[in-house]
Formats: sequence, C-alpha cells, structure tokens
Amino acid sequence: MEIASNFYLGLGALLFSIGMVGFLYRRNVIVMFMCIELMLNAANLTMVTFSRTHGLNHGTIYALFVIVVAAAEVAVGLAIIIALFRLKDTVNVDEFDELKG
Amino acid sequence: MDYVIFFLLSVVALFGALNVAFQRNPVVGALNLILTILAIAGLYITLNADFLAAVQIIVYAGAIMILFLFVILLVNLDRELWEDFSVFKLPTPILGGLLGVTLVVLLICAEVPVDPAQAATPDPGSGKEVGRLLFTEYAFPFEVASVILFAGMIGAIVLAKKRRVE
Repeated sequence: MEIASNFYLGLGALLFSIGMVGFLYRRNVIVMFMCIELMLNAANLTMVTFSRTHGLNHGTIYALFVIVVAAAEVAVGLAIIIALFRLKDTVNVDEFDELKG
Repeated sequence: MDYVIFFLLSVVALFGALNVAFQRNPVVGALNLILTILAIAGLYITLNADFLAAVQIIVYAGAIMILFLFVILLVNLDRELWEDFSVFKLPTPILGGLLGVTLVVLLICAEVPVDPAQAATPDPGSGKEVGRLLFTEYAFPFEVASVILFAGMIGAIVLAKKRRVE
C-alpha cells in the first residue's frame, strides 16, 4: 500500500466538485449529462480506494455495478435528449420550460 | 516512482475534467471526458483493481462515450448556438467551488483507517477474485443488473424511435 488513500480521496472530491460546478453552470443538456458521468466516475474512484483500504473486493464490485447502471442511464438519457431535440430543435436547457409553474 | 505516476495520472484527469466542464465545443468536451476516463482507469490499476480498469476502458470509454459522440454529432449544433459564457451567473459556480474545496481539504486531512489484513487472496483485483465474489455473494445484484440493461435498451429504443404519422 504505497500511496496514502487521502490523495485518491482528495482527487475524487476534486473531480466530483468540477463535475458539480459544470453541471450547475452549463446550459447545454449534453454537456450537463457528461458532467454527471464525471461525478459518477469520481464516486467510483472513491469506492475503489476504500476497497483497497480493506484489501477486499466489495468496493470494486459496487463500482462495477455503478458502471452498469451508468450505461443503461446514458442510453435512456440520450434517447430522451434526442426526442426532445426532435420536438423543440434545441439543446439549451433553459428552453425546456413547459412545466414551469 | 508511485507518486510520479499518481501525479501524472491525476493531472491528466483534472485537465480532462476542467475541459469537460468549461469548453464551449461539446465534441472537445466529449473527447476530454474520454481522456479523463482513461486516466481514471490508470488510477484503478495503481489501486490494484485491474479488472475494473479493463471494464472501464471497454464499457465507459469504448461504448458510453461513443454513444455520447453519436448524439452530439446527430444534434449538430452550429457555432453560434453554443452557449456564450458572457452571461456569467456568479453565485452558483463560486458556492459550488467553495463546497468542492471544503470537501477536498476535509478528505485530504482525514484519518483513513488502514485495515489490510483481512484478505489472504494473492491477487485481489484480478478477474478471478472479482468473479468469485460476483457469482457467489453478489449473484442477485448481477442478475438485476442484466434486467436493468434490458430495460434500458427497450426504453432507449422506444424513446428514440421516429413516430409514424398515423
């Protein structure tokens, strides 16, 4: 166990916060979706770090399931984006405001 | 030497992440996300999880990001339709950045308990050990994951289909 886990945890937190700021700041729906994937990767990195801390593989398997669910979510989410683009011809998230109260 | 590798991989990952979040061109953002995913796969290898690194490269960089690129090119935005960053809404990124910095500082100074003596298996991250756990203790979530993928596939096809004009 050469490198202390704190470095990996700090890097995961940094990646997560970059993804979070990008998600809140951007208005292009596809770029927001990519920032979500960035946050998922950062959480995966944290889980694998803790899996190494214990020497067991449970964190690795959780990260594997996160990748599986991310794949299904990306497929469905991009299909939704395509359907919305066909309807409104834009990917700017400020223009999807039909449900606004 | 380990520190050099970790430093290089983390610099590449952070560079890719910053480009994803702050580049106006979505294609450049997608390519930088691929770079970040590859750097994180390298970090998984240093964390002794080689099977997960291979899965990450094949599934994340090789399938999910290709899907993203297809949709970005399908949408095919002109340069004028990219967002303009001149409309700069200040509070959100600053608060988010503060939260991020707080998280990073807290985690770097945290006391992570070292508990390595539990597993006697010789190569914990390999496919053999991951498979052993996956097919015994996590067999039910494994089957549920296949149902999730099936549902995602059906949902994506139904949502993205062109409607026939009745």
